[in-house]
Amino acid sequence: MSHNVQSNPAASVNDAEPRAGSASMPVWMLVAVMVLVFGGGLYFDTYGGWFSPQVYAPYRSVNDLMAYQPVSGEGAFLLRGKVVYEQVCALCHGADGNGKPGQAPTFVDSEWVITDNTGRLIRIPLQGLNGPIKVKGVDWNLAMPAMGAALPDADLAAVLSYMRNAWGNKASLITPEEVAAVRAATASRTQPWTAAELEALK
Amino acid sequence: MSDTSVTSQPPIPLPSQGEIDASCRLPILTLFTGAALWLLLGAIGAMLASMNFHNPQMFADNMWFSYGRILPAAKTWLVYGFGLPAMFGIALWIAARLGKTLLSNSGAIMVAAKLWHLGVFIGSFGILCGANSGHEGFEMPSYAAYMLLIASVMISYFGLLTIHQRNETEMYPSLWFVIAGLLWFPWILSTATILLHVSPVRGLAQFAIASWYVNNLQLVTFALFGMAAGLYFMPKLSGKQLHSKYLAFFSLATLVLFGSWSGLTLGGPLPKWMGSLSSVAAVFVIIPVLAHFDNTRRSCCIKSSAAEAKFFSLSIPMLLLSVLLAAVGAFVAQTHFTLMRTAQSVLLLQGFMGLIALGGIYHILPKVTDIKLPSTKLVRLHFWCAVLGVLFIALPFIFGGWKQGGQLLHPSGSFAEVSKVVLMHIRMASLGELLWVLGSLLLALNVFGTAYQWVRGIIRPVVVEGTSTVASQLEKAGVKA
Amino acid sequence: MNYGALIFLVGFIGLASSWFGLVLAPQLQLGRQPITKIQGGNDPYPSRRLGLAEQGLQVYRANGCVSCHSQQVQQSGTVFDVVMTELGTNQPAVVAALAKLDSKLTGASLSSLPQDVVRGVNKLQADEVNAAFKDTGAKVAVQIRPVGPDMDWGWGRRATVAADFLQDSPVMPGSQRLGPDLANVGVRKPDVNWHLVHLYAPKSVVPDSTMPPYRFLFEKRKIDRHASPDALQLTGEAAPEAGYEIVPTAEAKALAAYLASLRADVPLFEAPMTAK
Repeated sequence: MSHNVQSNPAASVNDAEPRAGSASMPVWMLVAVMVLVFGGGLYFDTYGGWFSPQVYAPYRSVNDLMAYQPVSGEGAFLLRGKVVYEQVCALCHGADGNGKPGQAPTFVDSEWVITDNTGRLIRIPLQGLNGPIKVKGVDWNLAMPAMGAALPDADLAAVLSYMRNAWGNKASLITPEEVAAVRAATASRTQPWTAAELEALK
Repeated sequence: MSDTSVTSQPPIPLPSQGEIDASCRLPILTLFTGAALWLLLGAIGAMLASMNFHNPQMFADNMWFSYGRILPAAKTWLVYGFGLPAMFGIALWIAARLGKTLLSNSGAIMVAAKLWHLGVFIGSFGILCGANSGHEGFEMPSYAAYMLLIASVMISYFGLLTIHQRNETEMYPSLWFVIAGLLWFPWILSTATILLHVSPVRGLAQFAIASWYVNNLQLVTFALFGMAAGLYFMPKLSGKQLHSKYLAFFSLATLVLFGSWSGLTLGGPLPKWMGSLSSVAAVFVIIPVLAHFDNTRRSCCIKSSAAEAKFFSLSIPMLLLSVLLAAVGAFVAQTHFTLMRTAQSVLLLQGFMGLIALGGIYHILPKVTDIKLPSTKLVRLHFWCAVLGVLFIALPFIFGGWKQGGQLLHPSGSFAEVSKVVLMHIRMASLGELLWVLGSLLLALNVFGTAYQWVRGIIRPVVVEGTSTVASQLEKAGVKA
Repeated sequence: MNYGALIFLVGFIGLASSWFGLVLAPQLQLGRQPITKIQGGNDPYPSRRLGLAEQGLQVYRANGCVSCHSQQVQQSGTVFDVVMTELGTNQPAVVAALAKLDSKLTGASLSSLPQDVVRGVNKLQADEVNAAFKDTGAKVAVQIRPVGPDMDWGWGRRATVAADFLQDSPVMPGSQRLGPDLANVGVRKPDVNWHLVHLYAPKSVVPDSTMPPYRFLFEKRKIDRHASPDALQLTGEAAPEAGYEIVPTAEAKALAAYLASLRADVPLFEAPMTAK
């Protein structure tokens, strides 16, 4: 036993530990939380910029930001392509176009990208590409999904034009009309292409 | 002995409250005496900082007292020197008392507490000498942060061990908050230390992480420990039962979920989504505070005869006001970059955390040392100094900050217009700082008075023994001369 | 029921979620951000501060300047201006187009181009105005201009973004404006000597300043035959008595160099504006 307890009368008076009651939670509080969370979600949807690291106040989204980019004409087209590329293709092929080993081939100085036979290039994102393909002397054997099938013609044309003119590449632009023509011509095709089929195209 | 079953063994007697208190004595004395000292220094430091606005020339030749050095040092003294040690002490004592077990490894905890205070000492004087880290709310240099990290890991470990070894299996809600707080603080401190000091992240990521850490320390950790204290002391001192443990659990769940996300500001240099998410969370965090308020108001102890009871009752409205200000401030551009942010911080740190820490110290210290406080009148006086002090700082800052924001949003030619508007309010707040200094002196008197009595109580028998005459010693030994 | 494990889980999940969102995500998005290029150019941005300025950053940090000054400009919106840069040869067509647009620009001011055709319109209106001049032979440019109170104060031409801080450690955007924002103070006050005098005696260059003087960053010396080339040019109350001079220490010089280097006014993708 430690010190003389009488030296501190307060110690023995009313030193029972508190007890917890079991009153039920007020329902209005739970409802308030749900309403707040819903409202907060709405707010974030409108003003949140959807987790994009490029959207700063006062802009609302990358699309919103695009309207303020100080270019016109070809510059705007390529800029649109860059934005679409970073949203759709960069995940696998890299923002620098170098690709990732075992995942996606490079676009930099790639014969498939800067080819004059633009039909080959347009078909790859439209229907996808399976099986062995040689890119810059390196063999690849993967499956690329039809990432461009859902894109509008203008966006697909912009992203392909961007790839053909970025990272040191230099090639002609691809127009939305070309993309529309290829889409119409391959409308019945559901299977992904193979490299052999594409090489056979004229 | 083969038929000896567990049920036939006599039950191990639970330690008495006196024994539990005695096991907490050394760590709590270390924590609280240091806390009282740092509070005094912190209050004086804040006072000196505000002197810069009365007379900018005052410290023009003095490096240590210049605003940019004395203010971070004062904030470090308040938060790391006073706040966290007091909260740790309260948490450990509550854990031991509610678990009806002795505090585990109290010697090791005392060593950790000493390391902590050493870290605060080195860190705060490091700031004064120019080793300010640049991160607001975490200004101490890296070497001090490492010391605090080791100390806090030790304190948390032994605190959680105490809870694990509890004899009372039914967990009172305060224990939940203590567990969460003891878990969370080393986590956030280690994250901040590693990502800002050991291997600093690049660019603005530092700002995001520092803001996250500071918010999780000042709002979440202090609210976790503060709510633990409120849920424990208010029913205890009022004699009434805590209203609802389900509401307490709801407060805990919503506090950890929403509170930890708040802290970043809208419209800053961070990408929009961070500010938006954080501001939304700042609104949500009103819910746990309201729930806690609702829970404790039914066992409000403001009419209790104990001198420290009022501290706990007034702390919760301060917290509520602070989170309301933060929620409004997140979305109203007029409050950005103004003194309103400081007001919200004062209400949180000195209003809520400070009052709880003070109430806890005044309640626990006499119990663990078994020595009555030198003067309960000073305790009551301190209550008024503390509350009025906070109000005299926060209210001018709120009104001044609002005006400052108005001037910032409507540019005139010269920035002097903004400074002019602010000056009078900062000067008025100096009165509040003075009251806070006075209050800290009262705390120091009581705490060091108790410590002195305790030391005297140890030394006196030894001295008496050593200085008694040979005759009386022989008589004691039963040898007749 | 042993609540201990449940509490641990609730606490862990609740708190870990914010770690993912506000520690990991900023590191992935901002900490690994590559150095970008200035829009419309090839220069990397931001470039590293020159040596003395980088030392000045540490002096700024050590003296806690962030307690009163912020370094983050904010903007509340972006508008377009259309500016006529060349008249071309067909003045009557230009005047007619201007009249149709109800522009404030009249024939008389056409001799002193460039002039604003319209200011503060949205993109649709700006494109219409641009189109109206397509066949007149005049050259008009659409310019993008961020607006907000901070712009009106002159604190910057665009909002500060994460890219502006990539070369600094530590990063000190600040949260108080007891003094003006400093993100672009190097644009407003590029003269190092102004900063030195301001640090020594703020009231002598900013009459109503409430900033405390930082005299401990300077040395008062007796003039030894000639005045030192570093000595501050002070007048009035701030000047030392005859025979003495005020010389900045290395820290003061570094801090002044840092302040004079503060600028964030280049256009970026995430912070577009028309470069001057």
